[in-house]
Amino acid sequence: MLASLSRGQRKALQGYLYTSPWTVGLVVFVIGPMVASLYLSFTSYSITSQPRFVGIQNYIYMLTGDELFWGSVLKTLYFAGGVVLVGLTGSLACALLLNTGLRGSAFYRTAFFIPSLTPIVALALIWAWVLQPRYGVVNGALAELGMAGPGWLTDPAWAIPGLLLMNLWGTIGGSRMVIFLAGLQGVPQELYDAAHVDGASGWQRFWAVTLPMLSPTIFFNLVLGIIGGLKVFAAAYVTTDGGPAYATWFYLIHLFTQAFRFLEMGYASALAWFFFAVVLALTLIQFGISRRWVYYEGER
Amino acid sequence: MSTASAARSIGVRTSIVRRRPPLLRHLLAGLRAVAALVLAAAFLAPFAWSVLSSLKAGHEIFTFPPSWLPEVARWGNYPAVWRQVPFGRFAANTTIVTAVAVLGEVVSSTLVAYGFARFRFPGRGVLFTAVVATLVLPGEITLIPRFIMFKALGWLDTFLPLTVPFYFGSAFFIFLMRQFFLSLPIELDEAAELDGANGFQTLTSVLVPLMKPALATVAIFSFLSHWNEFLNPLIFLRSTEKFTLALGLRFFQQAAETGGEPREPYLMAASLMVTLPCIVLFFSAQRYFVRGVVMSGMKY
Amino acid sequence: MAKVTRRRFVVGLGTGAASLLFSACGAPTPTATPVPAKTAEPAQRAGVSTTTVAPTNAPTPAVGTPPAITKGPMPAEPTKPAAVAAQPAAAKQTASIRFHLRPGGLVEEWFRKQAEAYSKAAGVEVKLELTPDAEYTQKLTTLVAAGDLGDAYWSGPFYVFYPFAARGIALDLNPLVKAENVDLGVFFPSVIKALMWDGKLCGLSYGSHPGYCTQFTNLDAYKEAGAKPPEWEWRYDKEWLDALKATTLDTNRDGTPDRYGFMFPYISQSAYTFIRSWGSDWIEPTELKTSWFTQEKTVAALQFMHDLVHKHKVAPPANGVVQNMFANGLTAAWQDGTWDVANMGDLIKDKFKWQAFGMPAGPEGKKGAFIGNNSLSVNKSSKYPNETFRWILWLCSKENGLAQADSTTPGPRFDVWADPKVANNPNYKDALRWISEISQPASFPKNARVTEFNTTVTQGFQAFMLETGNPRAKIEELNKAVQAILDKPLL
Repeated sequence: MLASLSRGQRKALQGYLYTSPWTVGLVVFVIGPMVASLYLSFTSYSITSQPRFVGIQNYIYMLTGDELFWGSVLKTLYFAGGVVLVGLTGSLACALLLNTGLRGSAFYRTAFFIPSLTPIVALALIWAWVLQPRYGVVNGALAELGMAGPGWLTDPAWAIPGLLLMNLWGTIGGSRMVIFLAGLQGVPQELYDAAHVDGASGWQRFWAVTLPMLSPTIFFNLVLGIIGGLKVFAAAYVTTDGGPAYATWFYLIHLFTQAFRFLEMGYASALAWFFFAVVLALTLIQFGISRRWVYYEGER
Repeated sequence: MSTASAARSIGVRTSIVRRRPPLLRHLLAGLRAVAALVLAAAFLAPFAWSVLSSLKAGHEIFTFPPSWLPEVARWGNYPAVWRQVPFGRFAANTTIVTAVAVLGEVVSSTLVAYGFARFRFPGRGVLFTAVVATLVLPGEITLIPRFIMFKALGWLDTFLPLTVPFYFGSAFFIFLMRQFFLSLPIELDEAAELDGANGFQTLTSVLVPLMKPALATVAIFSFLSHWNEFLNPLIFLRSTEKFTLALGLRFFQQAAETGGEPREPYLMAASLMVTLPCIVLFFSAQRYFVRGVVMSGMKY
Repeated sequence: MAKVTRRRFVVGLGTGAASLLFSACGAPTPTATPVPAKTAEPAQRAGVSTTTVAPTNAPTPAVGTPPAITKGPMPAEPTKPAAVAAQPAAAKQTASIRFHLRPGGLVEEWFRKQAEAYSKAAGVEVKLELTPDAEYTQKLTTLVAAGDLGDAYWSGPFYVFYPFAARGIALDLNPLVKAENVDLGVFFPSVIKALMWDGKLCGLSYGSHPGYCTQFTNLDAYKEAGAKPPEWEWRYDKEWLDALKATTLDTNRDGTPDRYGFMFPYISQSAYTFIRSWGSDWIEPTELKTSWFTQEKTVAALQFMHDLVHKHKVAPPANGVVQNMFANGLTAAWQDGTWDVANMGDLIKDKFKWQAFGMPAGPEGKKGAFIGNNSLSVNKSSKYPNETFRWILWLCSKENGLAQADSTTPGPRFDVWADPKVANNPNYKDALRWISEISQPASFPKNARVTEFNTTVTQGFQAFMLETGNPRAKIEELNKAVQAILDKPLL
């Protein structure tokens, strides 16, 4: 029977076959709960009572009535911007540094990676110590330089930078860097050799060989970096809990608080689906743009 | 594909020939070594503090001015952790869940990613959008529907919700593996097909050996994510005998109202014991993702 | 290129097949149902009064923890023929109670022991289900949504107690109290009042405290400054403020004291002590529908706190708070509650002499704070309401109250506080007066949106305390935000 199919049809069939676990999983485990939460976003549902259909009221309240909504959007963008700009370049820089055949790279790779292994529950304690305004390590170092350090995490103006510092420490050498490293391993040595023979300088080789060959990994890390940055939650949850005075009231903190503290699950679902629509659109736009700058060796 | 064409295709200009003088090269190497050292120190300092804190007595954690060294090294804090919670039990549970979930997640995500990267079929775009979409939706919002689903399946208080769904691939790894597949030249597949290999043979004998760095990366991340998973065990498990380490760690968080001596040192000791297997694994697995095997594959 | 050898192919196939097999094995087998085994539907479920599974109101001395709240014999004595008839069947079936609590510390250990003891004494199995503090509501509400909540739950945090009471998840214990002849008079009246919602008794408390009414005081610092230790009659704005000024130390005169005179936690409940001591409240206390944050006396109380930080500079600003300030001698006194008395020694060791006193009185001589309950509630849909109720009673005994005093707070009973162990502890001297005469249930929104209210007040209070330009505007903002919550429908 297979023989009667054209080559393209056979390929398509194989495509369905290989992706079938995902398709099945999607139908069995994912779609149901997603549809349920979409429905709940049109209800008033306090978890402990039955959901009551209210139309688009939640969405209207979100965009026009919720005093904390737009503030949380701005704070989240601020944080995500920092993560993407500093985090992405930092991870790439670390990966490149570790890829230069440094003596003791195995040690350095592990050393850079260790912060990302710190359990979240321990994170709060460690950073309470590092960022302690009067006696902390960071402010201690600043004092040595003759600067008065701010009240990280306790001063509204410095709480987000404090969380950024915490996040960057934990992620720069983490999965992003390792993915870059793995991507760098995929750049064939021959290309460097050829470029070398052609007399390209290190900087030129980076621009002409490394970056294009690394672009699929960069793209992955960019997409995931943006999503991850916008989904900032855990760090704020265990340290500032949205405070002081709403200074770290990020989008997901708002959502979680509405859902499981204020028990407004209907409204929280609306928040989630708004987030979903906007961020998915943003991501798909990135996929569109990526055609212009991401170089896939295996695509034609 | 020839390396020359690759070099051409990415446009290495051949006109500029510049070689660095040896002095400058040494200087750069020295700078790199210093940078790596400084970064490693910054990444490891908080870690070192948590190691030292795990040996302190409760009242020593937040003394001012802060002290690095414990008054006496209390190695007894480590066995004490085992006495205070069923740590061995938690570790065994975590090991089982992680091993089972990682196996399913890596194999299925690889297959699915292969399907997305190498086969054209109607609906591929939509299906892949669904992969990205699941990364975007905040997980908390589907928690209650998922709970109800697992309750209906009779899976509550078992390891099934923590393992089975991952046998259908997970979005993060499908996306990541797809990127890696896409950076391998399609000519590899075509040559394999000419040699009479079917799609599965091409995957296992040609592509997978070339993707060891990527697979190692995925396996490690999968391991770490399951080892540290908190929300799913929190919600879907009921009996303490079935708890995992990430959940058990929370037992050590200070809650003044639950009484007893300050528990921060135990928290630190416990969190280090949870982290240690991850560090060992990472350190020993890293040779797989740094020594690329791409070269040999490129030579035909 | 690498050849597709037969060996590789077989290995590849094998791996694939193995994984398929694996996933098949891990696949759903609904037999693994973890729902509590359905024991025979108990015959005694006709009504709460026919209690048949007698938990022998006098547990054997070996167990050592008699509940002894009930007056007189339990109604399940063999005087009732019907009950006797049901007895044999009931004795065979063992009820199994699922009980939700938070893990950690001596409290968990204590609950574990009690569960064993109760199982032995009453023949009722108690299964503890632990959920970490921070995730406790999340887990419990998820269970409620899925109809999977256990029989009894720790309802200590008001963010669990109120919504569950308002939504009728908590069983009204009044009928059981009557049926079992329980004497609620052993508890402080304000404790019982705080456990009521809409006339229903929504839980019992095994550990209660009179709120943020305690000031831990560094006696050495006071002595050194020539100040007398705090006295009951002290006023905030008089003797107390003088003592704060005297004990604030800025040796290098850089404007940041090396030691503050006082420190309060930057949360709503600590401010509440000030507000009530000024003779006011945060919500109008009878209808519970109007914000009182702009009431003159409320504003005065908040302004006084603001002045402590910004005008008198005797308390640290919100962005200058560090961990364990009091234990580290960075503040001479600290506003807290009775729950930390038992542990304070472990933190301070022999660094300095300390004692816990009550907070002073407001400008009109009033004192006030709220009652905090470590309460336990029964799920209304429990299959074993009687057994569950008795389990809760068991936990609220005098003996257990005394055991609590070792680790957290002495609790809700007169007889516990009258026991020499507590009565002779100077740190509890003022607290007894607070819990028996002064502290009253907190005024919380009529619509049960307690967490929303509390979060808003805490964040708004922080914003107010950080504002040096126009703090009054921050109070107006807070008032508006609180009123918006009070105007919402029932949660």
